[in-house]
Amino acid sequence: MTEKELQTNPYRKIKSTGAYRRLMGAYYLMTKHPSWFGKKVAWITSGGPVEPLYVMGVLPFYPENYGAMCGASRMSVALCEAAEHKGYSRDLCSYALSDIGSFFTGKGPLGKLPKPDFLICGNNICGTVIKWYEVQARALRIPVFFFDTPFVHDEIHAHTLKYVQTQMKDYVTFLERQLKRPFSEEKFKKVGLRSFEAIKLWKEILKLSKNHPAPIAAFDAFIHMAPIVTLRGTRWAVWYYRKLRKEIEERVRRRIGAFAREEIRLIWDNIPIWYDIRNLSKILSSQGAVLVADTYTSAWALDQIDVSDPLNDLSKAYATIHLNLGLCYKIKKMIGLMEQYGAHGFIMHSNRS
Amino acid sequence: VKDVQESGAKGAIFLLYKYCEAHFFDYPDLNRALESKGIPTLLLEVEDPSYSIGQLKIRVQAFVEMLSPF
Repeated sequence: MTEKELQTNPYRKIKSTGAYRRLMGAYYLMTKHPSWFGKKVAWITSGGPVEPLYVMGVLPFYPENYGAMCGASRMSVALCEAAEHKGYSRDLCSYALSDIGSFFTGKGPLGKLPKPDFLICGNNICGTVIKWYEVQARALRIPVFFFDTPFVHDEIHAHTLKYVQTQMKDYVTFLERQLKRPFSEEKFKKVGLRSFEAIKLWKEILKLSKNHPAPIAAFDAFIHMAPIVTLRGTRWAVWYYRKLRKEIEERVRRRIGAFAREEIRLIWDNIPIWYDIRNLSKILSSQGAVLVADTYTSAWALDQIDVSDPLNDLSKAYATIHLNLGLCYKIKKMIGLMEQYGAHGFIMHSNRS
Repeated sequence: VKDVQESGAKGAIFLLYKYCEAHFFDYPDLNRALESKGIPTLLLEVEDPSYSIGQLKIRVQAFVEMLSPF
């Protein structure tokens, strides 16, 4: 395929991207220099319950996002090799290897990362993080809290839910001990509401691509999902997604698609290829194909929301995210996406991360 | 480390199954702990069923010879 052919279907840039960059820039500035802002930092897995951290005024840092950043900035290979040099097998997850490599060398897209005060590890997104966080906790000599969410094969059982809810209470106690101050239920309600508000906005934005042509493609969603992962529970996330929704709604009104030409509507499954999103996007768009939805960005769009009993409700939400559910649920969800988004096909991306 | 020291073993062999990440994540720290006490180690990575028995034999033999006094 020639370069000319690849450019026959221009991509329409989302204007809010400027605001997105400023927002994420401010966030990373804070996590890199927490002492300037009088904050403590916790590393947390992408599916970990972040709301209690914001309640306690702790800044979350996401090693997985950082791994994706290393991939997108094409620094992963050198960082993984640094970890391999320390004895870590090249078969281990490259998110983990990139981060471990960055930790040893002090190199990476953000340079040397600040030392976290403690780690929060939830296994609702994968099992790899358990050992990964154990290794990091040992290397950093800091405590780690494990939030264990048993895999839900069909439906969540009452005893599973109780088990997760108990851990949520333990988590709060852990935070109180680490920060030497009480957990404010009052503040938690506020943070919970903001989190739900941001999630609601994000879901609405993703749903706008049910329109023909789709106003926002999965490639955009992969980028613009960062605040829902890192900043849910903050005012910033709500502010940002309101702005983004407004822009995308305007596109729908004016029947503007994410790409000028949309002939084939496709759905993407699993993580994106961070190190080459651009080329994948070009190849698809040159064929008039647009990724209208995906299973990855909606993994953070928690479905169960009831604010009357936020701590227990949050437990249920975290125990039943997409990645922690059985095959039947996933098939149902994928078929649902196909129907709702009027898709012609599905790209299943199976990879060794 | 305690096991090695108490048993009087001269070395330790890690036999890891390919892709078993639980063990591969622990290996670097365990290996470092042993080597810091001057205990030689050997890492063997096997894949079931397609491991090459001849290669494993040679590597174990070389490791044993390295540990032998003469």
